[in-house]
Amino acid sequence: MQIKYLTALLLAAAAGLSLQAQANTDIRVTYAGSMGKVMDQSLGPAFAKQNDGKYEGQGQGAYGMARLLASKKITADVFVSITPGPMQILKDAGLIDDAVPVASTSMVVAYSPKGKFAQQFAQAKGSDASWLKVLATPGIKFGRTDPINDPKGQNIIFTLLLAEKYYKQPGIADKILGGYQNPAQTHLEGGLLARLESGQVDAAAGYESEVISAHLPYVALPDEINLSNPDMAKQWYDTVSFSVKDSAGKDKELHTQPLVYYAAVLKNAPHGTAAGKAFVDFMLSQPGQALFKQNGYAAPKGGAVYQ
Amino acid sequence: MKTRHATALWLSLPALLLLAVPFVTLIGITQWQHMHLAWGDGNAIATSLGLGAIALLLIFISGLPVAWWLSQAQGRARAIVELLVMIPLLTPPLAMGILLVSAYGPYSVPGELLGKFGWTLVNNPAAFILAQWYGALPYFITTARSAFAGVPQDILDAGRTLGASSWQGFWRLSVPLAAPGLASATALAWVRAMGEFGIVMIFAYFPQGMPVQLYNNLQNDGVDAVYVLLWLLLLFTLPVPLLCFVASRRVHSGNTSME
Repeated sequence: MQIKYLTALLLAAAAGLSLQAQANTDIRVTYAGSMGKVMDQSLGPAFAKQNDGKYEGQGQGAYGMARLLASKKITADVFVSITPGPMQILKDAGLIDDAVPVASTSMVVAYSPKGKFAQQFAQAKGSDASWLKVLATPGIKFGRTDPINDPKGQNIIFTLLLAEKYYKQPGIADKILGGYQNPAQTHLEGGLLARLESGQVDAAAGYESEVISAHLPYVALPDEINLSNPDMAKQWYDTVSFSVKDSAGKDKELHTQPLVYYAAVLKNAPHGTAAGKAFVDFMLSQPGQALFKQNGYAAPKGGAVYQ
Repeated sequence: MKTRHATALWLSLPALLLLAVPFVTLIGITQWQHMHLAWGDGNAIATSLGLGAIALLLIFISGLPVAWWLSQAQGRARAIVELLVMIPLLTPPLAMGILLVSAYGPYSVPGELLGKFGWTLVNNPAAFILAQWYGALPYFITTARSAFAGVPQDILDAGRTLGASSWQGFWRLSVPLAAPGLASATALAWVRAMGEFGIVMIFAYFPQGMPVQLYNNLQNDGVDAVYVLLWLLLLFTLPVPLLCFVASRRVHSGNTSME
């Protein structure tokens, strides 16, 4: 008797949950982890307000997020990635038709304003090799993310390899990095941020957008090495590469991809592709672009992919 | 008696079902024909088990006196120590990792002291063990303390009247009588240390144990690689708690047969 009552209660609760109605102006966006601030605090709320709906944002490593979406473990209306790499996973899974550029950024070197090297970094400029020399100082604590699973971790290696050529400082990249996956420098995204903000690293590789969002001082770098400008690809970016081990333990050669943020509407969008399209259009609209700019992002560069 | 057990079992069904659902799903979605390790899985297993064993030993040695003292103590001192154990228990692992970075990072006071000897606590085995230690110690102390508290006071009093020192009372009476509970505490500490991700991902990303490798596998190879490593994680970490349970049951039945 008691059990029957309990079962009925459980069933009723379940039915209630599944019947929860959803207005079609609601939106669920998944995005590359570094975009948390601009998505959850600027674009998302602004879109929700404009459409009188609800915004849900989820950020994580872009590759992991793409794989969760591709295997249908999670669903979303829109996916925003940095570089076209994670998008390819969704394209291969047949979940998207095309992806449009919505913003861009560049590689910078952020530094701790309270650290021992703050003054040296403040005087350094991207126009000469001074910042490289500070980074190569023995004893400096430099932080970066893991090139094995994070595009940003790969990008700082590309930038340093390019800097070696650009400033004609052979061998300096290896001197700074101490191996591609040097445990003394490599952290997971959240761990690196915690170290930088608590002053436990002196400098860290970052995207200009997130560094501006976090109000940290940084050294801006020239286009030839900051990976932001697709026009520099042929002459500069494409000339460097390095290898990491893939899941079979074999060497996999990595090449640069432009630091452009792409957005795509998913075919299995829970709120419908129209809602997804509305959010992408909003990101490209003047108010949307203004919000990107406020958060330190640069204008979209290059054309759509897969068209 | 029997009907009461039957009712209890029926009432247990929702909880049991809840616990079983993800793992029944896991059996269904694992690609049994294509089971193969991703690169680094073997190392991750060795790291988790090897360093986890050291952490477990440290947790046991450091936690046991605290648990016993808590079970015996009274007054304000006990309240303060209880609070000290409760705060890390309540702190979410991610926040704990951030605190550890600030407390033991190279520019913290302990970090600078260690630096004088050329040591650091950044992404090395010592940092990994410290992360597990922090993750599991409060759980061990809380569970072991309940085990000690379950030892009847009159047995300890009787021991004292017969001339046992408090050290003898602890080793000869408290520990054997609390053994089943201590085994549970050890099992819980092991499980907690093995699964520790929040602290580790912030404070000790290297050497990479199984939870971090699960994250890597998801990023690089997708969910199928996660399932394989999850099976291995269960396979390699289950024996310790199972042994603890078997041992405690044996001690327990030994005790009752003596009575």
